[in-house]
Amino acid sequence: MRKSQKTQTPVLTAAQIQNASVESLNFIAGLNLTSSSFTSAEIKNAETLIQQVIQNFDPTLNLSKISTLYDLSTRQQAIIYLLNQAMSLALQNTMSLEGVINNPSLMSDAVVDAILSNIGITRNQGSAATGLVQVNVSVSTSYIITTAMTFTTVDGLVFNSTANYKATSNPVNPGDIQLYSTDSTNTQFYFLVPVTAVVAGVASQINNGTALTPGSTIPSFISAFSFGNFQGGMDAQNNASLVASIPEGQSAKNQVSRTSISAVLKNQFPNILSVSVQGMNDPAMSRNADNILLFKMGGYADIYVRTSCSIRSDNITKTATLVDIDGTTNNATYMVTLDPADIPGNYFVQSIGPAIGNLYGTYSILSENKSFNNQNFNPVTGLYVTPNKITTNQEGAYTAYQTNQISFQIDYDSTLGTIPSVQFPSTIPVSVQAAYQPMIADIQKFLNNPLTGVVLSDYLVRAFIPCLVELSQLNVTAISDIDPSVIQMAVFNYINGLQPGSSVRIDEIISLIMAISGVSSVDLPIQITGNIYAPNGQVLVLTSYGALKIPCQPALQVTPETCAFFVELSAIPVAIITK
Amino acid sequence: MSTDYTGRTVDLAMFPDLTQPNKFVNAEFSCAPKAIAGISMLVQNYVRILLSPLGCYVSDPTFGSNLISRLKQVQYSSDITNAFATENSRVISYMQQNQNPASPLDEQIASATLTGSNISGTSIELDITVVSQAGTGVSLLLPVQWNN
Repeated sequence: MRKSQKTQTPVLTAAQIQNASVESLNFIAGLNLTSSSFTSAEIKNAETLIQQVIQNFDPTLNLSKISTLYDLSTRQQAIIYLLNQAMSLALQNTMSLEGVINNPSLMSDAVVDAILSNIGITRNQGSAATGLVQVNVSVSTSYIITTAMTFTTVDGLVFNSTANYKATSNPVNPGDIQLYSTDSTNTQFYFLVPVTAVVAGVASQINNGTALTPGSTIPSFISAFSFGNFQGGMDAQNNASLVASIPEGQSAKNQVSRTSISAVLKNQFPNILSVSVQGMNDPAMSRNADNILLFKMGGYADIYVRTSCSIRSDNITKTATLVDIDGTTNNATYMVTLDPADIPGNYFVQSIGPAIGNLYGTYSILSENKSFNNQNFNPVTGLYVTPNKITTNQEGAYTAYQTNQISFQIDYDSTLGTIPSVQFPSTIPVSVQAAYQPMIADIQKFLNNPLTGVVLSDYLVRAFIPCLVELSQLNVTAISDIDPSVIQMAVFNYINGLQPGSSVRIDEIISLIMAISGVSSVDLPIQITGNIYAPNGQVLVLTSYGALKIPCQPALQVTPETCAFFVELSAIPVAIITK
Repeated sequence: MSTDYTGRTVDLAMFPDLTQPNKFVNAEFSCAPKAIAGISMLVQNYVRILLSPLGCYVSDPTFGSNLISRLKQVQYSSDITNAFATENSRVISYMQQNQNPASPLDEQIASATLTGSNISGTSIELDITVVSQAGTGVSLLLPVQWNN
């Protein structure tokens, strides 16, 4: 006798089961393993099938619809048959390439990863945002911040201290950070803690001034805020994007065609987001024409790579050398050089400050002079085992061979009571912060590997020439309250996700914003400004109200295929007008 | 009167021999399962469907009856009669629609009637007589717990 069914939730529909991914079908015996997953017609057909099978097996059994055997065996086995069939269909949908292409949004990450690993495609897991947290305290003393310290936003985003730090008013050791006085009355103090997001993703790129709560007690704590906009966060690659990379995954894994070079590099370095190859006769290729007749020779390629969603920042401690003390102002000019291994291929220097304690602020940067060094053999890195041919500073810019000589000024401080020659020693340690794309040197080293690299070839890796984008304020009218960060994030992902050769289009930005629930209109005009940091040091400024397109200036090696758009959340101002 | 069941298709017996007079209906699958046919199978099918909740199978919404749930709400003895009349009619109708017309007549239902009922403590005993198309009848006592 069949007992009454208890309420059973959740129950998957047949369509859900068929579309679910294999490892997450969520079949739970007694909970959703029920006949409710199927239609009456499906069950009747299955019962007829099972009835025939059993009857054929033993014709003496009475399997009429009112019989006990029908109740005990046919009905139950029909459901089991249907569940097996549904799982089989799910397997078909999630294990075939066609199924993945047709239903990428329905597939789980694990299933897509497993299938695409067969053709050498690996998901980019994204990266965590980094930044500084300003911790305000009421007492001038030493504060210990360990890597276990967390800071959490009201939205639940969690950040960890990047290292063990000691905040003190007199930093002398590595790991010491400066404790500052907020005002002259010495009633409030603060220090800056470098942190990184616990979870990778763009969402952790919080804006300047975002309130944070420490995870454990900080003595004399008053408040904590993000200091400046956080950077470097990147979402993990989604399934649609992975499926779009199938042609690369299926291409021959050699370093010959553009597609296969891209495939090889992405296979080896999953964090590479886009690749553009300038070959023998491409306009931005200049290295192969360095001969007396200016003929373009074969065997050369410049490989532009994008390895992070937004531009990264990194610090390095270097020794600066005194160049001059101005006889009139007593200000000192120092020089420091970033060698090829120091933040390889850096775009520009963001700040220079004291080596210990300082985490923000900068001396006055007077100039940057980029050059290159491809002569020295480094037995440790092996980077120059097969040096690439570079003849001009422009060709060396943003490559692993780039050097960057920075001149900066330190103002004379008369309150210290020391003469300039005492105040400014001949050398000082400084912390240099530069913008860059990660892994440029690693990729160059990989291509120059004498065992796996292409013989008779000269492949030079270069970070995409950056075009930093800024937008005028986006005035968005909405029927309800919308978090401006949702709009910022949509525009951020769009611009930073553009592939080489694309333009930043206002109409596409408007479409993106209009697609957000609650938005009713976006005011025009919207101005887009782009600053292209050309390899020769020149900055090209572009402005448009329609579409920002990279110009083709081969002499500067600036073309739509060699430049990439970068935007920070702070460069996307949004105002919400609620009706 | 004896019946020759040779060549009949058989079902699984889940009750004691219901053809014995005044036998209580208690489900019991013994270690030595028995096969049944004829009037015993008919009565077993009737009881099983009568006691199964209506709608317990998605694919077969008319299978079962509301007898149990209705008996739990009885206040007067006339309620038992009314409940049985409605639900018995439903079961008879279902069986007649779904039984194989080529099957032997003693396996096809003709009628079932409530010949008596007794409320004792926590249970209601229904005295039911099932009659096949062959004219053979079986009386059985069906105990139903009514306060749980």
